[in-house]
Amino acid sequence: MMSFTQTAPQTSAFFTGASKMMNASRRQSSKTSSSSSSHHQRAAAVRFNTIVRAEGEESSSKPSETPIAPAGTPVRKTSMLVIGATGTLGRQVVRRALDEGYDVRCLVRPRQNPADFLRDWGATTVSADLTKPETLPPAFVGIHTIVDASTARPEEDSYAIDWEAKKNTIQIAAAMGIQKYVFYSIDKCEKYRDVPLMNMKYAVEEYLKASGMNFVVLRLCGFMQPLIAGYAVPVLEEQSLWGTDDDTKTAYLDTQDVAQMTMAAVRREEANGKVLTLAGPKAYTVNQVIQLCEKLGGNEAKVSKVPVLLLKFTRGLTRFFQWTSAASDRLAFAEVLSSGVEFNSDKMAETYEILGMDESETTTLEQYMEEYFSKILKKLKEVGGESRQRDFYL
Amino acid sequence: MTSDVPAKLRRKEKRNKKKEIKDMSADDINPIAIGRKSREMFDGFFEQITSLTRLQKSTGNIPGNAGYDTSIYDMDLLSGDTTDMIDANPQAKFTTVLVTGATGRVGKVIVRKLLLRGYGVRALIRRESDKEFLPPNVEVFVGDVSDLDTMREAVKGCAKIMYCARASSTLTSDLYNVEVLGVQNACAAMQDYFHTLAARRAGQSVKSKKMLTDFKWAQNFEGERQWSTEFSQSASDAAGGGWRTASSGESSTSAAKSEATRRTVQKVKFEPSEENWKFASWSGFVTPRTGVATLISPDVKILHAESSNKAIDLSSCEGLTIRYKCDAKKYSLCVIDTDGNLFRASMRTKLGWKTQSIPWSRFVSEDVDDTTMNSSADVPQLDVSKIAKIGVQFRAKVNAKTNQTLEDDLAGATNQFSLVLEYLKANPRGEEADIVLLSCFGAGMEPGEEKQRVVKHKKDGECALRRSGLQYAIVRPAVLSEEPSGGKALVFDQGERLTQTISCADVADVCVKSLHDSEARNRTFDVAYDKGSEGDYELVTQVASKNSGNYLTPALQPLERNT
Repeated sequence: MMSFTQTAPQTSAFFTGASKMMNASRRQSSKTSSSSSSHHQRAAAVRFNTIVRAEGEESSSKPSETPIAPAGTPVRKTSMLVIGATGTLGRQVVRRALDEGYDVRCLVRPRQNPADFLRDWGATTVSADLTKPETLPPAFVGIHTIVDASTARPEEDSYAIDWEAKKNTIQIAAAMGIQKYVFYSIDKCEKYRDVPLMNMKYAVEEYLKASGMNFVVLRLCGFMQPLIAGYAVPVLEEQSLWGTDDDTKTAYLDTQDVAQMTMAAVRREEANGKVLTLAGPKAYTVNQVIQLCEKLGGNEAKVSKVPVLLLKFTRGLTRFFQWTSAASDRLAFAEVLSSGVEFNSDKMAETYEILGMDESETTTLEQYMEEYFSKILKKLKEVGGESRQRDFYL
Repeated sequence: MTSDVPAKLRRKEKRNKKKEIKDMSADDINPIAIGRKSREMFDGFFEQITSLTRLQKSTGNIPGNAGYDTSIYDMDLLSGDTTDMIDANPQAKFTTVLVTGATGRVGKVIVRKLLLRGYGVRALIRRESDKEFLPPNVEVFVGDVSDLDTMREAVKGCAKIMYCARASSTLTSDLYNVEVLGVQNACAAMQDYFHTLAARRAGQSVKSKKMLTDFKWAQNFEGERQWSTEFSQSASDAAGGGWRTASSGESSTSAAKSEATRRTVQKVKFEPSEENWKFASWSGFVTPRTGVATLISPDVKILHAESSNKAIDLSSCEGLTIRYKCDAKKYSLCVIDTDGNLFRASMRTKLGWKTQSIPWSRFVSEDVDDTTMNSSADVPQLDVSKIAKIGVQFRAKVNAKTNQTLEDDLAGATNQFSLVLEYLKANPRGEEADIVLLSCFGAGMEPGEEKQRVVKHKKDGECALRRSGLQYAIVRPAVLSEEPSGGKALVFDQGERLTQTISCADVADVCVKSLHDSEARNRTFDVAYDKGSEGDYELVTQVASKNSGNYLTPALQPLERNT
């Protein structure tokens, strides 16, 4: 399976390259932005110790050499880099951060017109490819806080993005003296190491702890946003729904609330070095969500239930052949589903305390769904009126 | 329904595998089409199965072949990509805000906040090169605030102005250009723009001050004009035209003889000014020490601008603006209600021309002692809707020296006065601030000449804004700091007492909230972070998170308006 060791020569070679890049970009930035050229990084001369960790090993092998003390103007506290800024969560983080007065830089894939909406909000964008670590250091110059909300898209290679790229990002960030690193993980990832993504998330958590950087890990349970496409819309359109018969419960959170919690975690020193699970006010099974959608939408859902056993069986089947092993990995989550786990946190009170927030502020799934349905039903009514008129002319 | 799924799956699995084998073994049967089809079916099924177990579910991608109009189900309906974020005002979409100083510390955050809330944003910047610091959907005007023409261009189409420009140095010329002239230009440009709009629909701008009396034209108060005839009756006992001049000696302890002398020497003229014939001059002398002269207008119902025949409803106004030139003696503006009670507000006079705006709240009953301001319960309170007349009052200065003879008084000329009036206008009232001015009171600056200079110019700018007749909000942060907002309590105060820091982002938030907050309108307030434990401030509101609740309204309510 996955290896947590990496070869030293590779890394050091990479770091020489990185520091060259950094020097170049520093020179450039001091030229272009004279007023805000308080960029100071302590990376260039630092030799970074490779973190070598094996699974299960104690975290004693911390980097022995701490970076040289900084000199010059410190990086402004309001400078933030968001990785994965175009994603569901990332964009909310960007919005919230901009609203709270951060200068937000967004790392986006090199494209023709990269993420215009981010710049329209007032963020700046830099092109970089997470799978090409040499493109990263220039983007990290002058940054105080990194919020990493990136993850592989379904069509992308999860291993490359969720493990390799993360590892590189953390190394570069640590070497460049980033002062706070926020990483999103999955609730209970340490328990389900069979699921590749959860294993990778857990490994990144450990890697981050060993990096010596000031970090916050936010473990997420589930977002409310995908429920719209997954359940609410099919219910409204009377499309058939795929559900499982498991009773896995998830305490869903609105991404806007997650963004707000992230901001609190960034702002507050109490959160430093902590692994916090962010859970919604209440946990729901998929069936409860569907019931809620039926109630609000006034439609009966056509649910095709897939027994978890079938999923497990399919996984077993696909695991059997080499050509379906990728599919098998994808189905690994079935194991988690069959165990009837609850993605929730019983320590939320403590978390709210650490974040200095109030629980009553958090959107509940009922509120969220009600708002969505009230809006969408109104919209559908408008659209329906129009289409009827068209019928008249036809 | 559930029962047939496993069967289906198994069948498909099998079929698929068979096809794979067939593909390899027997090409000649050409099963490719069939194979592809079954593959597609299987893929669709597998997609569903795997999506059930996918950890990261994508939000937006409703499959295109879903058989319904996916664009309706806008995924961003709730995620905040539409403008209904946080506390956005419904008007935001139709409101363009001009931000001066958009590249500054506070300005840049204000620009972002406005954009996030869906406002149209226009920025006036000095250098073309600063454009790159602004988001691409900000409309950029390059120019200087001290240039009225640029300002006029920039204001066109804007409903509000956020004035955050700040002088880049403490040179007097810089300070004057940005802090004073810039604000004046912003006000003038905005008023002009509203006039243009009003003229287009052949009406009067609601933002402009309403002319009560234009003293430029002598016939306005002495000719055959309709309204002047009415008060010619009351003008019989005094010199001058249509205005009645009432002089009264207050009860004095002086001897009766000297009292009589005093009365005889009182004399007042009200006539077109000699040095500048266009304006009305009110001059003369009253009894030393005790003399009070009051110039009273006819009934306010007939005081109005020539162009409109409608009486001005003073109760829908904020106060009065008067432009005059005087000898720096003690004058007050007064109003008389229908019951005959007189309320006055002292005009802070200086030598030469001055425009002064006085809100209703400054008018106090003449029964209230001038020096101690102790108001007992039975003192009448000004009811703006009952105002009948407006006047200007002159009081002879009471000399500090006692035992003065009449001759001394006369020699000191404390009883003589000369006032030239240009106009008297009523300030309109609006719902929301038109201009939000970011000012300061010099907190955190080294005391000294430089601070005085900066503060003086800032104050002059504030005064210019108050006089403009536009609705305003003046935000005066204490010491600006560079940190993210949120998490700290804010203190709102008046009186330049605050010494704490406040982050630029919090100031920006206060400014943006002030745009639509009726409590912020016509208020000047200082803002800073709370000191913490030893805070001397009363907690007025607690909001769980700063973005969810409107903290500004309750925080500003206790503060005085029209300051």
